[in-house]
Amino acid sequence: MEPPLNLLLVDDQPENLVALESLLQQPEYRLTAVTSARDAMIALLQTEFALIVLDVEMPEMNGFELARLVKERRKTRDVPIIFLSAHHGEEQDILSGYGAGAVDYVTKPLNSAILCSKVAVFAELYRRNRDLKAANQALESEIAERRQVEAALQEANRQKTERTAELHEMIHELEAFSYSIAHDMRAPLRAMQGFAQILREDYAGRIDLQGIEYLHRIERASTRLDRLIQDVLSYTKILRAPAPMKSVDLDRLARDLIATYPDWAPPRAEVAIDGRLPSVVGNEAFLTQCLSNLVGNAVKFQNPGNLPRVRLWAEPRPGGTRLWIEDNGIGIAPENHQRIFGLFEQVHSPHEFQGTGIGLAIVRKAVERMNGQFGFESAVGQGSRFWLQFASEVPV
Amino acid sequence: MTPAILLVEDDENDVFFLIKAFEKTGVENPLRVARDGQQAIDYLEGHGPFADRAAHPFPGLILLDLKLPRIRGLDVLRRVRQLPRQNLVVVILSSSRNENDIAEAYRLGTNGYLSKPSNFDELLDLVRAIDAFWLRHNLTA
Repeated sequence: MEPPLNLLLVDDQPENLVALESLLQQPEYRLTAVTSARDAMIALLQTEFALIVLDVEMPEMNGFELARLVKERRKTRDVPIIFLSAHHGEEQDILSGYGAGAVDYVTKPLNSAILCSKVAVFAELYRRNRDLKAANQALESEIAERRQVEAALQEANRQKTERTAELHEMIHELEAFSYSIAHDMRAPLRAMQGFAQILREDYAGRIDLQGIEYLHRIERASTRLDRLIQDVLSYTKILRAPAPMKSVDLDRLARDLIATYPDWAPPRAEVAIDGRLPSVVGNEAFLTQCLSNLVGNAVKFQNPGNLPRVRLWAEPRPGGTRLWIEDNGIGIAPENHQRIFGLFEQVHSPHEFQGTGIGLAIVRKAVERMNGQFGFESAVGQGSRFWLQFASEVPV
Repeated sequence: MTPAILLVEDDENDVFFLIKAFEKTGVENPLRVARDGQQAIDYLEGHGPFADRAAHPFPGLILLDLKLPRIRGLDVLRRVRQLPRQNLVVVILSSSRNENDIAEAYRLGTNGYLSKPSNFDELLDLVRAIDAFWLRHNLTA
């Protein structure tokens, strides 16, 4: 239910006021009746009125003078006025000085129907104005809200741009770092290895067996450090290199890869593919890296004297393919299952098996970047089965 | 006639290993060394002491490192390709596997890009391959 409209009734004759009040007594109006221009001004200061019904002829300050004051004040300027006037004639001229719609008049003696309908017209006008104002306010607050959201968005965008720039800077630094490792750290390493070897070969007659063994150790240690540096470089490359995804023929990739490693071929090992491997969605370089690390591990982690047998096959899975890589190696103890995919984690001492503890971390990162999954089943002495899973088709 | 080889390399150890590797593999082409990019340019343009072509023969093959003092390897390559002699084989021999370096080197007209091996045995293999491919079988026009 809408709040009632405030009407101000001004007449110096109390009996006229009573008559007006009884005419306009309706639930939609809240009436305020005063008997002087002075009381009217006080009422106007306290309340917002929708309409003033104003007697023209009053002592002290007449209706026109009060109307002038009302129209001069900014707060009340728009309050419409219905004058109650006893005469025709000169008063009409005064009324015409007001803007259209701002005032109206009713002649005395009052025709109740005319007065009621004129009041109703102004009341309706006021209501509509009020609704419009409310709608306007709602719109303005909505606009303000939108501006706020927009500003917040702009701020978020700015922060994103800043963060992106920071990330680019970081990547750039990482690249410079990798470059420096590759170039500057490997050069002295080459020197160590190379001089040890030349010493061993060219001065063989002048160094005893103990000395030769020490030189071998220098060579092995530097070779190992070189492997480590290369693996760290591969890992950082997997982290940051762009990895465009496309359909990759796993069968061709696996067979080509196996053919390139002499250590994976008889008499040193048997690496076989069961059936034909399907195509999967991935990055060829990353897939190559994963396969070479997993098959490499399968061949490497073997008991001495055991012929490494590695078997690869594909198993269809909903929406994808799981590639299994099974070996007959030493297996992985349950307490190590959590560790093996961590960076620099080595379950075995480097004396037992040559490794850097980076291979499986590279596999994990590469699979993550290709939106794939990975896992394994293994027990000590029973070999291991690693699996990689990828989507079969590029999502549309 | 066996063409001379100009090795442009600032790392003393790498220079030593390459000379040693050429010795061990029995490559008999004259091998000369420039220690930085400027020296390589001076050698090729025959400036100063390099004017004596009996002592400093114009090479048929340049083995060029990328990270060099004074003038970097890629700029040496650019200058080499501006020389009037176009049948000069340039092979980058660098420890950088950076894709940008590789792409830029080929864009500037290198004939090959070899990654420095990490041990001496691999270096011997590489030198044998350089000898067989670039010094004996490859033809230039």
